[in-house]
Amino acid sequence: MAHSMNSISGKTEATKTYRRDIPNTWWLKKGSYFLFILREISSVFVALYAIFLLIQLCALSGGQERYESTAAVFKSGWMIILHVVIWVFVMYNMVTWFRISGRIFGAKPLSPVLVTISNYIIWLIVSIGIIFLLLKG
Amino acid sequence: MCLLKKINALEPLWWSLFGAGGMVAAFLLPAHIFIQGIAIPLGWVSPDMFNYSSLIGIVGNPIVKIYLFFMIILPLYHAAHRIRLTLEDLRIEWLNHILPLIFYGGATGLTVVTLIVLIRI
Amino acid sequence: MGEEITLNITRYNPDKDGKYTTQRYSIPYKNDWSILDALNYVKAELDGSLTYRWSCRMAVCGSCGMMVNGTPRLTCSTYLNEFYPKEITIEPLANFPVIRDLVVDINDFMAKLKSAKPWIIRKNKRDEDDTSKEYLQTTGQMDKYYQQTLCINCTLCYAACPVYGLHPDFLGPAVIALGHRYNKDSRDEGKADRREVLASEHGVWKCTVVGDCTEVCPKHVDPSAAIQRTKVDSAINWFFSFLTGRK
Ligand code: SF4
Ligand code: FES
Repeated sequence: MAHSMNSISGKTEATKTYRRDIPNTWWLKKGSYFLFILREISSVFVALYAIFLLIQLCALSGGQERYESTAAVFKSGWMIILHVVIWVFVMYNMVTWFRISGRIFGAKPLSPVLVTISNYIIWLIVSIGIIFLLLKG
Repeated sequence: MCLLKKINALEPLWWSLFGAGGMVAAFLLPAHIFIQGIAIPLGWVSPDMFNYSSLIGIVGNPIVKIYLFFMIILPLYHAAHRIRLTLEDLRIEWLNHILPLIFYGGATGLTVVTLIVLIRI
Repeated sequence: MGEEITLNITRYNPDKDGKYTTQRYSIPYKNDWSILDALNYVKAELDGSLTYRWSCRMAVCGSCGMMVNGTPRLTCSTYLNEFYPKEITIEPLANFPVIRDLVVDINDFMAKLKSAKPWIIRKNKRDEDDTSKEYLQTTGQMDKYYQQTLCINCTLCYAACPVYGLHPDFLGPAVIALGHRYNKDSRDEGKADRREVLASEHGVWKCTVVGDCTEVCPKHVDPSAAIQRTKVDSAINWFFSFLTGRK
């Protein structure tokens, strides 16, 4: 594939066609593309949290001393800020996920909005359940 | 080369893991992150559960172990799939060939680590 | 003369030096003119060499798609009054090779469309020719694929799809939507035939659900949903054949 702006590629014998190349900054050109990339980037933060959990479990398996020093790191200011950032991205990931699942499963007789709303209701119930277990369990 | 082909042929598996990870990330993670990563460190809540001796007991429960296993590995596959596809858009041909190996391989490696850590607790 | 509106139109002549340029035209503004009417005015009154495709003028034939201010639109059903008094930029559909001015080469799309076998396939080939046989269908069965039958092959969704732009081998939205349409038809038995194409490495798995195909589709085909449903079907089939060892 030609990569210059105005390149000519003789496709058929009769006519010379040209192709406009897409720059790697294509996702800055349109709001919907930007939101798409934001959604993809949110998965980095999803992974980061999974790795944090793994680190905490590792520390737990390493004995009390190691667990407590790791727990102290997770209480530090910049770690809290990082978790707020992670949380915001994970929330965004959730919003996009429910919108898309509405689209996939919202075929007749269900409607996309109905599927998305029921996703949110389930999310609410599950979240309350998790919070209850974490606080009272 | 042969390994790379095999990884590519498993596309339906990677996509399913990605989808399952999306479910976990959407339904479970927000509440966990909010409580464990923000509310507790800030001292808004201080459940008795979060000290070494209680945690060891709770995580020792096999059901909790299974829950934690999927809560860790599925989001990893979720992210692996998305990051791989996004990086493919950079159109660096040699890199695109090995992206599935790097990311699905990485997620699978961390799955093994998670398994070992959970078994040893 | 009354009000005027400015059109910035991409020009390209393959017989000349091979550079594409933008040409400005000022034309009278008519409240009820479509972009296509405006182009027809330019061709009739200002520049007879302007080349573009159109036929039905009523959003049915799918041949008048162009980029209007950066968004793929059917020019026969996009009106000047949406933009007036601002200038309008009209470019050939993105992601396709350009033949001349506003005309793009959609051979790639046509070949892919054929590869997805968008027609009813019967296991017993005699069924396909036997016109005496009736295949009754309930409205519920028809609902499963009706939305995708509305596709007019305008390729706006291809112009909106960054995955197609970046990876020209990708089958793309409309082709997968139309494959899905026949897969979901109760009279069809060709799912397995289509799977090789739809679930190939250039098929559904390449889609990253940007969703703009659905946004720009003038017929509300919702190709994005059709692709995701095909992914679900393909994954289920993959697990099934993995467990049973069947192909
Ligand atoms: S799916 Fe919609 S946008 Fe794509 S070719 Fe068909 S009618 Fe046009
Ligand atoms: S001219 Fe037929 S769709 Fe516009």
